Amino acid sequence: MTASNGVTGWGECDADNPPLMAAFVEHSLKKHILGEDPWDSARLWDAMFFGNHDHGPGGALANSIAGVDIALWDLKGKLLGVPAFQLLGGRFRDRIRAYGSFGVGFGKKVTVEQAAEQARRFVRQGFTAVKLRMQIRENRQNPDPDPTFAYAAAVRSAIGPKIDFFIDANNGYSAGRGIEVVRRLKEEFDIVLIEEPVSDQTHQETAEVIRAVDTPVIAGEKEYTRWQQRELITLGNPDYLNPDTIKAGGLTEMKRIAAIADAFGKPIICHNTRPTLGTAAALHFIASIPNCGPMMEYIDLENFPELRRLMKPPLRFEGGFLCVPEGPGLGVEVDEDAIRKAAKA
Amino acid sequence: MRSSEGISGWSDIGGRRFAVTRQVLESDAARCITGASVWDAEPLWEKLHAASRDAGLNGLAALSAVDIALWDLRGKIAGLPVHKLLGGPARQRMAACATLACDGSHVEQAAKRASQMAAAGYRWLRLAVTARDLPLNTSADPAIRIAAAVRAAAGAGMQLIVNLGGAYLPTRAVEVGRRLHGEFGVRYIEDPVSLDHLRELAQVSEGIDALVCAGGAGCTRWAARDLIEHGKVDVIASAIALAGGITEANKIAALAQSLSKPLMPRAPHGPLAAAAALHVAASVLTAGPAVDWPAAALGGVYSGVPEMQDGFVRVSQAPGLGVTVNLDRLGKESGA
Repeated sequence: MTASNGVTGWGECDADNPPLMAAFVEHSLKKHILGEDPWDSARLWDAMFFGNHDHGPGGALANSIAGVDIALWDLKGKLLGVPAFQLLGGRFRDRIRAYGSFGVGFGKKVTVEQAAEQARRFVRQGFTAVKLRMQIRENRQNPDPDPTFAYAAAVRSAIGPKIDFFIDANNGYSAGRGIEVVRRLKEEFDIVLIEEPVSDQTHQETAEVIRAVDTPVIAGEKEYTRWQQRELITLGNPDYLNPDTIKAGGLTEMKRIAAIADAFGKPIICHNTRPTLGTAAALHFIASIPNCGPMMEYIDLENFPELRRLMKPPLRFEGGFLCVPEGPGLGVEVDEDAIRKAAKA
Repeated sequence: MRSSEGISGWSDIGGRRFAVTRQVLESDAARCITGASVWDAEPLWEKLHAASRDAGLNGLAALSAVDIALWDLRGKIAGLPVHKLLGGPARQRMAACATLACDGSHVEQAAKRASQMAAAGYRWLRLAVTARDLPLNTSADPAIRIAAAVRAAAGAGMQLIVNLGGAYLPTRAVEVGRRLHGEFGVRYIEDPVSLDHLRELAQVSEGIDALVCAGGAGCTRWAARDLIEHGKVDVIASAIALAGGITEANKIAALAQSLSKPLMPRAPHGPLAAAAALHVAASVLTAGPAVDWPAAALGGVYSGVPEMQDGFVRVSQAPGLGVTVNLDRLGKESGA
């Protein structure tokens, strides 16, 4: 995004379907932004959202607005010469513990041995917490046999007893079976959290699990707006929320979600699977909220060597912590040529 | 509030126990703020909130004033009006609502002022029935009498808000609320039952057609949540100098909006607070009317105070709050 004085701001949309995001930005969002004042970012958010509401507010619309909104915050920071976290309300912390996150595609993409190796690699890189994403999902609900236990055993054995370990069921259970599984995972593998044990479409089931287990439940990666998050909080009552900056409407909406979450006493553990501008934006958000959870999601950079070259300076990951960038805007410069090259590859 | 570069930020102070508020400002606030980054709105808010909680509402008044002054300062440093730092205006102007208080002893005077306000262009009027000491569950209750006189004087076009000062038991509040709505077209009933009586508030809200509103006597995001969840209010009233300032009002607005509760900005604490409330309300989709106008300029102490025109007030485009405190006048007015 380029301002009339030539200053540029960069953002990142949700990464699952780039052509779809690009089409939304080009055909639905651009007309609301061109010629407008970047300091009107909240008003522009409303214009983009309500101007395209019929596309369905809870999906690709919020995901694509996220990228535009993040670019506006980068631009505002650069225009004023201050880091985005200052404009977002100031800095509570300059770094955040990161947990290493990886998926196994319900056991079809990654073997048990590979999962153990990945977990060991996280520990070598300095991570002090690891999350295993089972990616069961609703269409394979309550699998029998359930590969989760073999993977959990292999990962716990690979990382040893001192590393925090938790599991994302990716909505794979009914409440009744979920309760049974969570209790067993806690007892046998000492998990510290359970993520989305049940469907994100039935918050009552989330509440049912939470009432029954003494393992904290985290949910909220697919609730992209303040209204969806509020519904999750009031009906599902999860212990932690995990909205994603590049999915949930960008920094403007994430700040609103944080305010609502804080009013209900819910800390946020950011969902974050892209080591690029999305992580930088999430770090500015995390720096600026009082109700930040004990960590945020991050991934194995060694799996994405090409993405590391897109930004300068690279994000600092030290001793298991991600550092909040300090420069104006998001605090990183984008290498446009490298992005074009990566896009063609 | 002065920055190291010599730029100053200002606020009015809400509440009534100024000695307590002053103590919080001089001890806790001075300790938390001195040397801090002017941009740390939320960390400073949390720090001062934790430090001043035992001072109750008067601590919240101190916190609110510090927060508002810091936003004024930030706007001046950035060269931007506060509402631009909050994400820009959802609207440039907002319906202004005048406030009128009456305890039933001078109803004719209240009626006269109501007609003056209608003539001045106001289309919203908030009537505060200040009769808390009367036995209100008897026929001596002046609320209906006052409302009838004010409605007759202000004309049919005036939108009415009636504040009942928390004076009723819930069943009586329902009875009075129904009459005020049915006979005099009152839109909002504010504070029908005693503060903190959330069950009773819910009973009234469920019992009457007028929208019930509360929160103006002081409220944080957590109190606002309880007013909505347990008090079943329809509208959140937020007096910014008793609601944690701009930082907190902005959060209350996000919360209220996600639950479809409009924010009604109140500003009884002076022109700086009134301007601050207007900056927040201008940036929020579902807000209004702006209550407690006109904000007194106190014989030239303040300049740049938004003025009501044709029933509306416009948010200032000047850096910070857009209201200037004239120091020489301030000395004269306070007799210093």
